[in-house]
Amino acid sequence: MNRQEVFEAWKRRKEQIEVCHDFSAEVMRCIRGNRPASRAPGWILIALNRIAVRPWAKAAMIVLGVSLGLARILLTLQLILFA
Amino acid sequence: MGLGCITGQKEHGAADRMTDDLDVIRRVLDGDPESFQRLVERYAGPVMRMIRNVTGDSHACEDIAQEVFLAAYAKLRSFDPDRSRFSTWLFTIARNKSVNAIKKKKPLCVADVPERTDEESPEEAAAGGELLAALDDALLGLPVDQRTAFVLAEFEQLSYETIAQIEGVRVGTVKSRINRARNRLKEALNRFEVDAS
Repeated sequence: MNRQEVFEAWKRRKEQIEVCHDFSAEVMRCIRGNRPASRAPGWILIALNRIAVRPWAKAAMIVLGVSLGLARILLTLQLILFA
Repeated sequence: MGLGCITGQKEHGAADRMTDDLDVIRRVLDGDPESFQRLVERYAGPVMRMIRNVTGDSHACEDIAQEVFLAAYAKLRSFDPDRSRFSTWLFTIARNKSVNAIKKKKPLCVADVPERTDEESPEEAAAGGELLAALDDALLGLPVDQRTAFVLAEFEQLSYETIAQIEGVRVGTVKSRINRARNRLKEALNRFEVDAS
């Protein structure tokens, strides 16, 4: 066997892999076990997931939150100073 | 013509798989976590093989692969299909976990080196189990960055561009790492031949 054939034989050996037949089931069991029980309704979770994967939606939520916070502060100041 | 056909089919298959990966990811993110099993089944073999070849630990590779899939599931929302393929992203996680496992592992004493229990194939016997073992040792003796690049290129057949994405370096760096790794393996073969003669 020349050097190239030795290398190819080694490569073939390294390319072989046996995966346990229940490996994916085991991973899924861990995922189910780690998943926190959520009390939020499904539609809220779906909406949150959709927002989380879109950067512009995340930015819009932050802007909305900041605007609402500022509006609330201004409303409180107005009530304190002018009521 | 034949080769063109095969390449065309291969590219078509890869594109189909990529679309299917994205469908599965969408389903998981839309609240169907059970769909993730399909991705685990599809990538368990390549991920486990890569981990085993990088760490050299055939016993721990299953545990590390499990960690890889759990991390992928937990971070699935951060996967951006515009930046990379799912397989590239998954291999990046697997690469980082493998490197962490190597760093955590204490150096083996000669007495701790596990006995090789793999049965020898006739091919292996012909080539000489010792020679293949010398190549195994030479691979594990490579610096980690050369080893990961070499494993991804030779055993996972990934392109230089994909490996560069996984390693977070430039394509030129990947090429030089793989060349250095190949040269070191050639040197190991030379040394073995000199010692044997």
